Amino acid sequence: MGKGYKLKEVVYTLSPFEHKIMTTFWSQFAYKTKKRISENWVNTLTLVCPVAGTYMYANSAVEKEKHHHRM
Amino acid sequence: MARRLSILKQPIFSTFNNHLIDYPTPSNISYWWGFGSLAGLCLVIQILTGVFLAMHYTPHVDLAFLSVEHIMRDVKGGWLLRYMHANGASMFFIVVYLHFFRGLYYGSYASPRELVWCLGVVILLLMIVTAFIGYVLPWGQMSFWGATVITSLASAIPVVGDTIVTWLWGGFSVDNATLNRFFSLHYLLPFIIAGASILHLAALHQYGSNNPLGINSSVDKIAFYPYIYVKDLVGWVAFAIFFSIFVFYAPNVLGHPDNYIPANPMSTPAHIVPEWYFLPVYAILRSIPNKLGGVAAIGLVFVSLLALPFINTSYVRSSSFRPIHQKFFWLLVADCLLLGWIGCQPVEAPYVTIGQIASVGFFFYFAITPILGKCEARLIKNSNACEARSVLASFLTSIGLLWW
Repeated sequence: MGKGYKLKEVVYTLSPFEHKIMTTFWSQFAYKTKKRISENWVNTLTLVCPVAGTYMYANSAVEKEKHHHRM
Repeated sequence: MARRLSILKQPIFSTFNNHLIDYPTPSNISYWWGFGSLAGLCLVIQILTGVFLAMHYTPHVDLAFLSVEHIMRDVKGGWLLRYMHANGASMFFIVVYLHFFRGLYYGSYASPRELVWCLGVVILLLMIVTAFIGYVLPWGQMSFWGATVITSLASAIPVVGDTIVTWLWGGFSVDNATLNRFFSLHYLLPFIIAGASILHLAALHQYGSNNPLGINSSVDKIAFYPYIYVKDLVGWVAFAIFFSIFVFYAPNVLGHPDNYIPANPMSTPAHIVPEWYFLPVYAILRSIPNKLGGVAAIGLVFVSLLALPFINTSYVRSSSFRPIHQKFFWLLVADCLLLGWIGCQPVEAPYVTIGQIASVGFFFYFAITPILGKCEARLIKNSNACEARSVLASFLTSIGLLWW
């Protein structure tokens, strides 16, 4: 604030009935999905694997403990 | 913006205009930047529902539980007020945790926004105290025993611990004096949070918002109103739908059924568990067998959060351009989720070991932060040097070939 920013003003001259909104949404859908997956799969695995792995380990340890006491 | 009301140039209104209407905001901020205003909305919801609940609530050990049932059954719309307030607290924490992790990912804590971050941590601390105190007021089993467990932690302080606990309780156990003062403090603290939030915004407006690229955005800013206002409105509507699902379809799913049993000092619940938003900190507390050690660990959590802007050594602000930090960030998120899960498990194998490893993992992120920045800087320097060497090598090769 107070640094003399010149704010841009956006002035619409096109009729709203002429606007084309989300025209390329479906045509680019596959490409964008593939890009998101290729950029983020490592991060996703970094998040999911420790949580899922630890949860599965803990459950199996508890089951082993139960079987140990039953025997 | 071409025609503005002249009243906006008058004192007070001009401040309102400069900070909420014509305020220059980066044009590239994503929807992750909407959680700040959403947190403000949650605070307003909590204060409004809380004030109306307080009109019908009685802060006495013999009447508190019954007064809450009176609100639920007899007061017109009382059930809605109660469920909005209880679930609103959970929503507040969801929003603030997402806001916090967004700040962590995009480096919003880095210079020059250290004060914004520190004030945010102070607000989080105030929220935790307020929520803890508020949970005691219904005077259910979890209210009473949760209050007993957490306030007893102060007895770990050497020499003066027991005196402090007696002073906190207003007696020799959690009783009527405790409930009364907790009601008073629970009414007061949200207004302290509101004041701290105004300071948080003032500190933010000193240098302006961060953005997903983490770079200076002075070259392209847009007015807060109407663009960011409309963008935040999308978030507010999505939040309202999410909030309504809990209030109207699953109002007790985030709570504990034992809190529908009136408090009984003669009967200890089998598993004393705080609300979900306290579970990660509770897990860290329980990981250390020593009482004072556990309390110190909780203190260290907040000290680490406060110290983060000052231990960061990275030249790059946003994790968009820090692939190594990205992995550590997601490991931290995984660690926090694990801690939350461990917090509601009994204190037995293998949960104890997992909790201890997860607690170390949490502090590891803060320990590695200063080293990570320097490693990344070295990698960038080496890659620039490699690139410069390969450019030089190809140039010399082409000169040599031409000569030959």
